[in-house]
Amino acid sequence: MKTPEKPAMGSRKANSRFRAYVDSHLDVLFDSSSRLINSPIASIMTVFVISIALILPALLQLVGNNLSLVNEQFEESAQITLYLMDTVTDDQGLAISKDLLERDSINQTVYISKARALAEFSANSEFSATLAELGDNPLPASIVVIPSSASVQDTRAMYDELRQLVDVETAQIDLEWIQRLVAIRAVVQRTGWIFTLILGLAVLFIVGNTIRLEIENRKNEIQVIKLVGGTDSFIARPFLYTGLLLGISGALVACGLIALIQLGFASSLDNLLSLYGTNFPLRGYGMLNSLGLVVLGGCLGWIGALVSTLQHLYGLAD
Amino acid sequence: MIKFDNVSKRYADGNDALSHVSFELKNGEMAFLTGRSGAGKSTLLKLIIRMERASRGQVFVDGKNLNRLKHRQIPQHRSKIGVVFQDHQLLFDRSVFDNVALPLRVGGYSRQQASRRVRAALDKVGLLSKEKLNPSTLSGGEQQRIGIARAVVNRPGILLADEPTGNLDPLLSTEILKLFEDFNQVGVSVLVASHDLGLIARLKHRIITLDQGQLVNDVTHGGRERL
Repeated sequence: MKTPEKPAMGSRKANSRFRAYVDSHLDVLFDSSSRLINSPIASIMTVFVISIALILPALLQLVGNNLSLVNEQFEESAQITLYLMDTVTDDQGLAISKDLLERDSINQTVYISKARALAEFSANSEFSATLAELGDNPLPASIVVIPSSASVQDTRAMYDELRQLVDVETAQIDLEWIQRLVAIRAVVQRTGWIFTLILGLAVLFIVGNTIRLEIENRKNEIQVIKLVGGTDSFIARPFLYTGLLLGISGALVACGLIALIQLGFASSLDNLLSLYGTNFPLRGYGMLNSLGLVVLGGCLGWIGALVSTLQHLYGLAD
Repeated sequence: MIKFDNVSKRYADGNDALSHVSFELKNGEMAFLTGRSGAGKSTLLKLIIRMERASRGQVFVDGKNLNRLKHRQIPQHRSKIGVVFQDHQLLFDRSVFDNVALPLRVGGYSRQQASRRVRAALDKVGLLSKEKLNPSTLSGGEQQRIGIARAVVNRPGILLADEPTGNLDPLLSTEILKLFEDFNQVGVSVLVASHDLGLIARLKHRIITLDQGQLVNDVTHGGRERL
């Protein structure tokens, strides 16, 4: 029969086992860190190479993100201008404008009468004198339609439909710009993915090679550990921690370098954007992306170490 | 505790290190394994800790057939056996304490949890005051005693030693063998390989003699042959 104390003792035992497990991992982590610190030049070089391999895809991601932002800006300003037939009166024009506004797909419509068009044109143009001489107002009435969807496809579909309307003489949209930007963004993002893949592999190889040398250097120690009953996972543990630390350090250095690059580019980019008449805050690399990069670096380092360990450690004699 | 059943070992280069060896070491027994160098003593010890595999025949340790031991079961098997190596197999990148703690660390103990047992083992071999030193600063005899402390720190049921007195003077050798006898006194099965016949003859234990891979003599104290 079980006494009530038994489960308590069992859990205490389990607790102390868990404690020992955590402690022994911390010991190994500490040991791996001090090994890296004790050979600073080799460690710094490895970390630096890893950080360079991580920076390139990260920068492409940064550029891609900002292009998306530019796209959004332009897509929000996408509008369709419908130039109405000369026979359409102001009342009819206003009615059409109101009808269009009923649609869910349209966010806003602005009716510009012939008279208003002339007034705006005269105010902004050197040809006001010439226009005055003409006597008759040559400008058509128009309706500016702002779609509720920001997508380029939707806007184009709407354009194709609205230009068919009976009272519409001709319609105009300016989408080429946006489409080009979308295409450029797609190329940048695709390039980013390819670089991530290639340079991720590079990180695996860098870490793998470092670990291979480390295993070579510690062959004697590994042999002794095997003789006193060390399991494969115990033997692999310090190398896995080394890989993890290298990957994380590389990613942290990469984050720092990205911040520096952003600082260096900020003023000249602002300048460029103001030349294009737009001015919106650029998106920085940010905490979330940096965290992602650190996780990615850590994973790559750990996997690189694991592959190398499996390859070189288990080849040794029992 | 240890049982060899018609065991032969041929290395990949065709050298027959052991042929048709059978003997049994009972639980709590102490024995010397002797013979000229190259007689197969080291191979026999390597078979027990499964560093090598028998080509023919069977080796049993604690009732387990080592031929059937899987790769992942080897660590657990070795943790039950303490081994003292002729060349010490110490790690010179860490302190005496950390060398002795290694089998416990391998077994999942943290450094702190291991410390009591490590100090007890070091105390037993008389090196407690030197736990913080690097083994490379110690003498050959002291290094051998670190190896012994490491072998017993996990409180194994079996203690093996390969030429533990190899490079030591007679006085130190006697001290080392006395240590093994102490462990045997508390129930540990001990098997010591040594070619120092003069020394082991004075101690009253069983002597197993190998010659060119064959077991040629097996005498317990008092001259009664077991063959």
